[in-house]
Amino acid sequence: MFRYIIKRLIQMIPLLLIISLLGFGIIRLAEVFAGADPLAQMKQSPTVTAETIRREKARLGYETAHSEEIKLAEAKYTPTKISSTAEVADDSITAKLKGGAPLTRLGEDQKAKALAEGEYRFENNVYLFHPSAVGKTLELEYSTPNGFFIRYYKWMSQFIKGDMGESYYFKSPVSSLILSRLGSTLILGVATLIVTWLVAVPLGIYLAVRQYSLVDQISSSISYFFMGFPDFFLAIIFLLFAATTGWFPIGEMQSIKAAQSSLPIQFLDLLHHLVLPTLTLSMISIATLQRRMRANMLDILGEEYIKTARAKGLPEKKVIYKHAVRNAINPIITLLGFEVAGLISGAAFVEIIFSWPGLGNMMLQALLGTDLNLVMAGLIISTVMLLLGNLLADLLLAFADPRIKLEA
Amino acid sequence: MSTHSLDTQIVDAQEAVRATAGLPAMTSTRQKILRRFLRHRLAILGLIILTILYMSAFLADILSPYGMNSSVINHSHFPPSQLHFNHEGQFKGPFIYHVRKKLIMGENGIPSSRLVVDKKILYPVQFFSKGEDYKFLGLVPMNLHLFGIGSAVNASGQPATLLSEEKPNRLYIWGADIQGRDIFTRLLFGGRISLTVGILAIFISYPIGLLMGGIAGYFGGMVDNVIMRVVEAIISFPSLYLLLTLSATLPKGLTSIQRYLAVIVILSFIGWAGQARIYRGQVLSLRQMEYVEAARAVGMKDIPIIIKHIIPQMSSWIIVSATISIPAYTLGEAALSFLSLGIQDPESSWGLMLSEAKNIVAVQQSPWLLIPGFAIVLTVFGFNFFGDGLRDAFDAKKQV
Repeated sequence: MFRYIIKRLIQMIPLLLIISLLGFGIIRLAEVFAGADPLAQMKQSPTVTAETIRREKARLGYETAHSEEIKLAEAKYTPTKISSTAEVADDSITAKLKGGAPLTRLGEDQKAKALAEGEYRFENNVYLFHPSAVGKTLELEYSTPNGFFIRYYKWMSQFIKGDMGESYYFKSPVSSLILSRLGSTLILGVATLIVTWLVAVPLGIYLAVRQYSLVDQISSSISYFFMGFPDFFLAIIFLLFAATTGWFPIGEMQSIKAAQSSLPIQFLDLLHHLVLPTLTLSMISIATLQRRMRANMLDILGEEYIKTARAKGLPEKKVIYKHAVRNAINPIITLLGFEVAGLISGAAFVEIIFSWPGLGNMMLQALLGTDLNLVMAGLIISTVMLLLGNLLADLLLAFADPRIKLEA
Repeated sequence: MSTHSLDTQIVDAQEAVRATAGLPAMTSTRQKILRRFLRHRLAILGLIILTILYMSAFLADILSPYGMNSSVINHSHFPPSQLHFNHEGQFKGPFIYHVRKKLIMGENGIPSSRLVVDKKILYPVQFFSKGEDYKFLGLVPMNLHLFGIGSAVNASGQPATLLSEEKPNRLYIWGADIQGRDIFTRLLFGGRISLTVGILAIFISYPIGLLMGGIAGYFGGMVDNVIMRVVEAIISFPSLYLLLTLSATLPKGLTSIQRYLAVIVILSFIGWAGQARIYRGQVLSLRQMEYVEAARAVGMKDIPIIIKHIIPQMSSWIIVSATISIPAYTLGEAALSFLSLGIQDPESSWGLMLSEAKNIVAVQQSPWLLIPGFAIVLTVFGFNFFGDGLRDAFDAKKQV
């Protein structure tokens, strides 16, 4: 079992590599096509220092910082090509004489004065020095832009370490933001799973036992209806229901009042907020799951060993619950993985409409606020969650069905 | 999922009886498919729904009483017009009464608008009336509208005068949106986008998916590995998250048509992967077939074999699965536009129209804002019904 898990995790690595490359590539496309600059908001903010921007640029792998020392051969220095590998923009170069203050751009009269006093000046992208500086060492600091793969590598190596950068929109580190949002999404997801399974599995069994009855026909029409129903439209209808009746809160995860009360009240408040989003998500999953369960159950009920069980005089209840259900439920467990996966993606709309503070909602806000750090991290983390969900489902299946052996 | 309907089985059984009796087959394969389809009641319903939807989008200019963006400033969220036939017990033909928006100061000092019906002023409903000018399909200049309302008259049919600075009413069968535009009109025009996105996206994603899946399955080995890893990666992304992220690549200053095409490209980018995976599996088994061996033996090149021999073999499956996957694209466009990341005003699409319903207070007061959602639902069901029928008719499952 342990070896199987390790093997599956190792197999995931190349997939994750492609996923992250694709994710990074899409963001690059956004930068090139849509001119979305991940640093735009940072640059506008007066409180952000140049040093922070430089660090962020390095994290995102935009450019590599270099420093070089050059012995001045004449009183003039033209910084066009500093290193042979890359062209450098003139304004990204800071230069200073060894031990001296950095060279800055001066006003017209200051320039003349500076040169007269034996210092330097910077004019038309040329550094001019006093003749006495010849022979001294010029220290240069500059940065060269990186290509796609170097940028990807630099960003990824930080990402793995957990440094996903800063969200400018939410003004907090991306990693902690995602962690808290992930929690909310999981709460909604788990609640939906519980409701879906508690309803769909018994319903599927019941309908299979009473195949072609009126209840069966009505329920299969209803299922067909909900399977085709767009989730966001259903969410709006439920929200409208909440607003009209006033029985349920219209969005958010917690009311302000409850946030200050005791734990049990907070919990009840959370449940109250959970009802409608969970119901919306469950409706659609129940429709699918119930049909699968019913079909599996019908398959099993036609098996020889069910006939045997009946023939030897077992009560019908025992035949169904002890022999049929146990076998019919196994294939459904495989679905659990897809359910988990579907919930992360499928919940996004419900989160947005019910202003549930989950990952999906965060993604939309990040996108509208062009917070690319957050978008990128959100995309990748949610995908990882999804892959782990699939793995979990496989393990559960092996656990539930002794006939399945996981091969390492 | 669905098994063959009873009707399908009857047709098959009839054929079987004829075959055992040594009679020639009554029908060709094509006729058989058509007959199986026609006996599928839901499929016919789906076909009817889709025909109505597509025709109304095609004829949007003529069916709609107004232009797509013709708005009346004061008519924000104007309710659906009430159709009357009798004025004070006298039959007048279809007409609507003049409805006036009145500002009323509430007790809390917040002004709200009330609608007051003025029964002295009537607007007769006219059919095949001359209304706003438009170019049918952007080409033919016309001004014919299927219906509209005439100018205001009083009970005796004389032209009526409105209050000063008051605009004449318009015929809103499904109310007006926030900008005072007719929802019925915008729904028809929105259909042009919402109903075509899926079909166009299929025309991009299917060829790519089929070719990629075909190449992967046919060549196997390293090529297969690389293509399938990329496919797996795309499938692994939570679809809505990927959709949202891809929409960030859309430049700001796109024209309506560019945006429409960009949305299609985005949807196709996500859609091709699933197709490639299914198709690969089928090619894997098909490439063992004798006729493929034969083609190879006579010296045919690989890509022509895929295109000429393998893809046609799957044509019925392709038609069926394409039909079934159209709703997913339609919903994708609706989703993007709903989140204001797809089609944008002044263009119209059902998702975009429904995005007004995000404001729950507005929906409570103007429930007609939900109508575009029902149009989306209707389309999805139309395609689902139609696709199910096609699948049963082609018997695609058995064939593959």
